[in-house]
Amino acid sequence: MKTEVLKVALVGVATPGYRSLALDYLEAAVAADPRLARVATLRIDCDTSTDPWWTAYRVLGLDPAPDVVAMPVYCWTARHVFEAARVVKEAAPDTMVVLGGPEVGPVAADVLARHPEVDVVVRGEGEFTFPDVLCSLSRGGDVSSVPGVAARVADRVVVAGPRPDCANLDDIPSPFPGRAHPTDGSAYLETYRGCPHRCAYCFEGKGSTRIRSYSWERIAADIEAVASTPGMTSVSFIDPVFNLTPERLARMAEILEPHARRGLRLHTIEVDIERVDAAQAMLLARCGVASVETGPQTVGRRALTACGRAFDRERFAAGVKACREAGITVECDLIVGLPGDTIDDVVAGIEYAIGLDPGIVQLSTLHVLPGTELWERADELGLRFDPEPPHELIATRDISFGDLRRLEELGRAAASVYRARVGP
Amino acid sequence: MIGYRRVLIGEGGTARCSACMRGSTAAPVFRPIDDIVREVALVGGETPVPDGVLFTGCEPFSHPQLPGIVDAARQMGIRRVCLRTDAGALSKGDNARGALAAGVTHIDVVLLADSEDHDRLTGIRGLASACVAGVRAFKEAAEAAGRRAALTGRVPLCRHNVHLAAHAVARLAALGAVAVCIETTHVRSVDLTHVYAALDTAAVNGVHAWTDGSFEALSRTSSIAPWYEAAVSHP
Repeated sequence: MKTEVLKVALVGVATPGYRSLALDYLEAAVAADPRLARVATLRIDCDTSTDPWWTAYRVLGLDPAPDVVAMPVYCWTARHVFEAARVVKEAAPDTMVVLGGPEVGPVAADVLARHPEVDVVVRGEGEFTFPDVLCSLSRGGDVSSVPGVAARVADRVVVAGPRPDCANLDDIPSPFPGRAHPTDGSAYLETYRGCPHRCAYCFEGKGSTRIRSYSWERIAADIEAVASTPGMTSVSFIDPVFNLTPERLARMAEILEPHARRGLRLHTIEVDIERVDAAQAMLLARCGVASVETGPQTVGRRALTACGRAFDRERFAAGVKACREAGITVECDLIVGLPGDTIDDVVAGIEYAIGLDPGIVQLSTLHVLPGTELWERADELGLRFDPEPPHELIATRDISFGDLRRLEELGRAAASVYRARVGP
Repeated sequence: MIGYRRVLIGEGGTARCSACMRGSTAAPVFRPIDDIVREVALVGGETPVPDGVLFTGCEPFSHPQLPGIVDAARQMGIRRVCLRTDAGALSKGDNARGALAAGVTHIDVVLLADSEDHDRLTGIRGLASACVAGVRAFKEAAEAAGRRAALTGRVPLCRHNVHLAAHAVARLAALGAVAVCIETTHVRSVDLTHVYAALDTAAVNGVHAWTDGSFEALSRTSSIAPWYEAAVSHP
């Protein structure tokens, strides 16, 4: 493919209540790349509450028609994305469909084999791979040789060599300063990538506990850019553990406190609650944290072992208490259907979480996600799940299909009755 | 866990099968507010304070001193106040908004069947439509006030309505109930299939259901039920 100007449609499909940062980062990366002066991007934002055919309608209605349609894919949006891509490809066969994200990256070859509408899958972080793909396309090169992609070449699937994760996150162009921000008063930010934990159900750490942080200068600049946006009232950090270290939390408090004093609030900040004491809770409050999100995910010993999670009942309870005393709502998350958990374990988890009076208790059923340890070991662990996204759990060795559904209903009912109260 | 303490505020006058109640006095008897407040004070004085209180025994909105009763619970620091009600009164005037403002956080709606079957069984014309309107008014008032309110249901079964149990559950599900208790004390074993149908109707509608006064056999088809009763004591 070689055209005067390479026209690229960046299509973001969100789920109601959530928004992905991926498209912001990709947009910034393309804009900052001097090799891509002859690349024109246009962004389309949709969400899963509309029919995927309407997403296709918006893409196919572009004039001039895009040469490339790029879409990040998550388990929640995958069906929508595949459907929209299928319609686009059918109506405009010359359009190159490029996908990326955790739903497709870890299983790129399989996605290409099963979805003829997809031409290229970006594996891993896309901020450098995707511009390389566009650069190759704009020069008429061979996309399949770009490190970090898998691509369809004629009728073959070619998987190029891997691209290492970006070592210095500051090399990634920031999507925040000088750019338009959402006008609904909320935004997402990240200060590092990676996770210190290796929970078997989670893709966050991608099998590694390596942490890569932005510099403090970059973090402060991104926060300033977002917080100073007119009308901005709420920020969520997507960092897997906001209180990664006491020193880091203290530094974040220094940066965020002036904004918190002006009314900026941080919501659903993920914390390692077992490390939160009165001092850390105070730092969180200084950051403007209104609510934190945490586990325990399960209290069942077998499931904790199978998932590689640590859990100390007393320390967990102390962390919840410290947050509550600092005026911070705690959302305790529980996952139904972890390997090794029985019905009794799930109910014990609900009892434990509600007994802590955290503010919010949330149950969700396990999704066995591509790239996770549970995905790899599903047969061995007796997990039966839907191979199609969002990969919902069907049954486990210990809990039947019917009982999983009834546990979901029990959890929903208990959470609803728990939340219906006067006062904090 | 979420432990609701049951406090009787009267007797009679609730949505019950009129055929089963034939011959008994239908007129409700209201417990004096002083008695109720004394009991609530005992409940509120416990350590720790119970999570919630359920006012039941008669239709609560018929009790002339309901606002004072709810207020007494709130004054004792009880954070959840549940009324077991036919919900009809919530459709009238400012009752829904007033109940929420007073501190009612949860309604447990008694339904014998759907639509005109509910009216026929209770002997109260228009009660089913008033119930639907009342629940909607309560939910809308909660949303307008930015308050979280819980809705659960209760389906008392007898030989006159057991075949309609699934209809009642479906209606409660459509209204947004998150849990439904199916009272089976007066159900004959020959009618168990209707109870199974009601439990299945709840399951496919995303509503947690369990049986109160259940048969041994039921615990095998609704295996979560015993834990639910232990976990969320909702008398």
